[in-house]
Amino acid sequence: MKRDRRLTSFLKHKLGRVGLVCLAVLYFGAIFADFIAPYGMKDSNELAAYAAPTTLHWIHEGRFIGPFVYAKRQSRNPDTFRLEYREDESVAYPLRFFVKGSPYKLFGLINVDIHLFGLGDAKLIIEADEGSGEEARTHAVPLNIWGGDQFGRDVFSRILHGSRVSLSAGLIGTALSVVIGAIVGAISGYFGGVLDTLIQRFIEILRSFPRIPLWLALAVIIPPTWPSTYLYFGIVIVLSFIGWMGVARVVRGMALSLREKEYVLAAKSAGVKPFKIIRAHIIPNVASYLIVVSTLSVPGMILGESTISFLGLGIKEPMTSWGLLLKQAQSISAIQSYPWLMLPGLFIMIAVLSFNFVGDAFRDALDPNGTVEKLEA
Amino acid sequence: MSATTLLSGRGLRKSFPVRRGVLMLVRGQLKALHSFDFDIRAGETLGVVGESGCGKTTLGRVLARIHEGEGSLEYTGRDGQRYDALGKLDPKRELAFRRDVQMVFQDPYSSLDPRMTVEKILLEPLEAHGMAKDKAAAKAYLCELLARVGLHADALQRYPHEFSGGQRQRIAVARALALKPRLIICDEPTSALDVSVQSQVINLLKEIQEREGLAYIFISHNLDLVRYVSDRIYVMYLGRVVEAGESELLFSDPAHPYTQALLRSIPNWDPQARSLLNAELRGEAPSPLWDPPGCPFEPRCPKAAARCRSEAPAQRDVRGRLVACHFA
Amino acid sequence: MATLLELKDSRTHFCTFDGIVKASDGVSFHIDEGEVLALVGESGSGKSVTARSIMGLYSGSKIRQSGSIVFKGEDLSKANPQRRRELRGRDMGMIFQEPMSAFDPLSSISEQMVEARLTHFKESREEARALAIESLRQVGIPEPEKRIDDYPHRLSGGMLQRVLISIAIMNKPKLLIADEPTTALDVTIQAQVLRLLNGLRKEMGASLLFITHDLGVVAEIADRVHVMYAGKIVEKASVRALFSSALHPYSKGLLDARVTGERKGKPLPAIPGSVPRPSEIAEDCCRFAPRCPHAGPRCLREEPPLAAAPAAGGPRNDEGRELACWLYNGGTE
Ligand SMILES: Nc1ncnc2c1ncn2[C@@H]1O[C@H](COP(=O)(O)OP(=O)(O)OP(=O)(O)O)[C@@H](O)[C@H]1O
Ligand SMILES: Nc1ncnc2c1ncn2[C@@H]1O[C@H](COP(=O)(O)OP(=O)(O)OP(=O)(O)O)[C@@H](O)[C@H]1O
Ligand SMILES: [Mg+2]
Ligand SMILES: [Mg+2]
Repeated sequence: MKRDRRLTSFLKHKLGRVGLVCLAVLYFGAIFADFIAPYGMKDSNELAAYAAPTTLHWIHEGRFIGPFVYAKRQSRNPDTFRLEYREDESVAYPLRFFVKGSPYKLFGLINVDIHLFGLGDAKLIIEADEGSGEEARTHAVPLNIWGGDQFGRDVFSRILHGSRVSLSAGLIGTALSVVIGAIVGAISGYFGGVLDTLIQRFIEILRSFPRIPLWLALAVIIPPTWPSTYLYFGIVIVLSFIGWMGVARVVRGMALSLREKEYVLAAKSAGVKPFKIIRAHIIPNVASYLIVVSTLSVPGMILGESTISFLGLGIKEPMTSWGLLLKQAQSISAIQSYPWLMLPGLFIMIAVLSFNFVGDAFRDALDPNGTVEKLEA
Repeated sequence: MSATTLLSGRGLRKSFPVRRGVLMLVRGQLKALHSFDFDIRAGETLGVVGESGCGKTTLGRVLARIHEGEGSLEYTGRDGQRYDALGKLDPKRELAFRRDVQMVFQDPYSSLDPRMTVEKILLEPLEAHGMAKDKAAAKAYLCELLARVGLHADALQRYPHEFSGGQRQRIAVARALALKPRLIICDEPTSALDVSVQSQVINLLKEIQEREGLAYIFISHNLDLVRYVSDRIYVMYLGRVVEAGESELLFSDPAHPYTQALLRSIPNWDPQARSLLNAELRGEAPSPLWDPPGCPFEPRCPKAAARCRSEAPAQRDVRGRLVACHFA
Repeated sequence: MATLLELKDSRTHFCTFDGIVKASDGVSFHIDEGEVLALVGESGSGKSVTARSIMGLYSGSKIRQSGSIVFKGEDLSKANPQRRRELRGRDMGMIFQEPMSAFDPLSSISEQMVEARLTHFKESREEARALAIESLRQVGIPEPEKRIDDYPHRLSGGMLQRVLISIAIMNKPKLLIADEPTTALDVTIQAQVLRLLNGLRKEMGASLLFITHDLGVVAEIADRVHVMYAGKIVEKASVRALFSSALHPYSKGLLDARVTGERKGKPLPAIPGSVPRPSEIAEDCCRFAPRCPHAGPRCLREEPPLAAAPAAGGPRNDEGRELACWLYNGGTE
């Protein structure tokens, strides 16, 4: 009965439902990134440098032949000296599904080289400029539905690959900070006294530092020479190092009131040991609040990872994350000429909003009195 | 009664720091319990009555070692050894005391953890005392416990919210009985229950006492109820005992003006008499922060004189009971 | 005496996650002018819901109401919300169980009292304040000129209950509804409040609907008593008749469950089982049947109507006694 009521109340929340669907799509994309993305994380194509999004066509020379693309020819505009692209409408390269591409390991185990869609091994010949003495070269036709970046890498594929880091760092960081926060908070609230005062002062001092410099200061500690997976966990630990404090404060408040509950007193007067009481009574009774707290603190984590990576102290190339991808869109001129480089930002926004909506829906369902305040990180 | 004295308190005190203002600094002490003396013998029921805020719950919790009190609390263990049960005890004694003294709380809706099944709730004290090592035997024991409080064994797998208030209080009684205690402190065990269910719980408590020879400290603000269950009664006012004695004696011939006023304030269920509408006690219960040098009841007392304001009345023997009043 | 308020088959049902809660399910009674009617019953029997539906405090899509509530000849169930608001606080006053939660903790008592007066009467704030002070004096608050500027949390429970009463009587209502006004109070304070209420309603000539679960209090203050169980009235009687001979097995059980010193040493008579939860209330049968010592097959088959008690059943002088029990209405077979 009780569960039902909560579920109903959760589903009633419209934005919460929207958020849930968005998150489902995002996480699905992250899990199957290798398969959905037409290119691997490191693949680049010099024809795609700063390429605008490829347009999909259906009708070639008056005939319907299904989705296909035209290759683009680069040329330098003699007046502005900018690279310009022009579609070469002579040859149609049909879009194919389940095509062979760069190899990857599915779920990190099985060697596969099938991608959801792509152009296969469609090639085009680039003739050398007249009189340059060079020979004609063959080149893979680039497919960049959301454009290409500075090094000719596919933005769509990079966003998918980056979502793995961004979305999982949020979750793992939150999980870590919730576990630490719940334990410290429960101990602080249940025992009270000097221990509580010490922990609270410590948290207050740390929280009074501005967040971003603190992140950066901690991120600097991580040796940049570390392999990228270590780096990744380093960032997650930095994030949760700050995140647990918010959780601890909420849990402490609840533990303070739970320890006066008569069932806790009953356990105490029966001689149950303090840590057993915390494990058996305090933690289970804050569990539903912890769900709310966790969902509401994921966005902070995602933003944190993005910020650190954006400022160049986080994830390093060739691994990528949304924050790192955004780094290429740092200058006004880049944004003006290649607006598609901003797309990772849009994804950060969608993920953050979705988590907030879902968190709000959870809160309405599990915590109608609003005990849990929104956490910043 | 010649039974051994189980627990005897002398000068029991408890105060809470009062915090005020933005900084929550300690601004004073709230003396919830002032120098409380009592004795309870094995198998006896001791009643404690008084109005809201007079310190009844605080007393119960000091006795159950939930709050740390001051003064002395002499306990006679099963082996006949006497020791002071306040303050720090060595772990063995602590465990023995916790086993012997149990508590039943007022609100059966908050005294059972909503996230535990009845089985877990009842197992908890057994586990804490290492008495649940043999799972099958423990389970059989729990079924027997439930039967003793009039519940069916299939209750074990259910959660507290599936039970009515009266049934929950039975579960709470079963939990208190689990360790085979010698004394149960009942803090208003029926005041959250419906009238028709109250009798069930009281009958159950009485029945268990007769069968197992337990002692009860029965705390309540319901005078009729305390009179019905108790052998002896302590009447409290503002953290102090104002009158203490055999329950029938107190009810037939109250000596302290406060006891008299309390008895006159009980509705007497007789529409012909309507005695409440005629007699009444003036004034309000004072703030618990107030700590007068004289008698705390003086502002409301019909017999008050100048002496009452300056000199605290000592407890003395009047017609077979203890009274703290200059004029009783 | 003229009838002030009459409820006919009044129902209030709530649509909740667990299904429809029939909190008050076909309640009919009347209150005469100057009379004290007590509504007794255990928790969940629908006393508060009935009282609030008289005040018109329920509205919204989750709540279904039917039946009629006639107040001074006007059918309130057909009145518009504005009219209900007009009557509320002016012609009907209500006193709640928890005095603390009936106040806004952030504004002073004077603000709340003046507001209560000015919603219904066009007068200056000074006049309203003077009246409020007078009203506080009437309920026995010492130094009302000073007390009126206090905030609710500065007053004790008994004091607050007095202030609540003084707000309720300030506009001289014809009907006072007191929903367990003394349940949260100590016995000594309860005696004061009962005496106060009794004196006030005599002075003002108002009627009092007194809701409680304590039969002892009923004996002190009521003229007539209605006993409610699981959303229905099961017995209507005058106070004397009920206390000298309760007829319905439930009323009998309640009276028997009284704890007295004389019973010492003997087990207390108890009603077996417990008050049903809203989702467990059986329909198309007597709602008390599962706990009733006299229940027969008919009680489980058919719901007994509230009908005049046969003369043989009760004392002769007992007019207007009604019972919903097959025992007194053709047998339980
Ligand atoms: N943990 C606490 N911290 C501060 N003050 C407390 C605490 N517990 C109780 N008090 C205060 O001590 C006084 C006595 O409280 P206690 O709960 O013992 O009263 P009581 O007689 O049980 O009342 P009631 O009938 O309302 O349960 C009250 O004024 C209360 O506010
Ligand atoms: N707003 C509501 N929504 C759903 N159910 C309600 C609502 N208000 C009351 N109820 C239910 O209606 C039933 C009757 O409630 P009511 O408050 O009238 O009981 P009562 O007789 O006043 O009891 P008590 O003595 O506990 O005050 C209860 O089962 C209650 O849970
Ligand atoms: Mg208490
Ligand atoms: Mg009610």
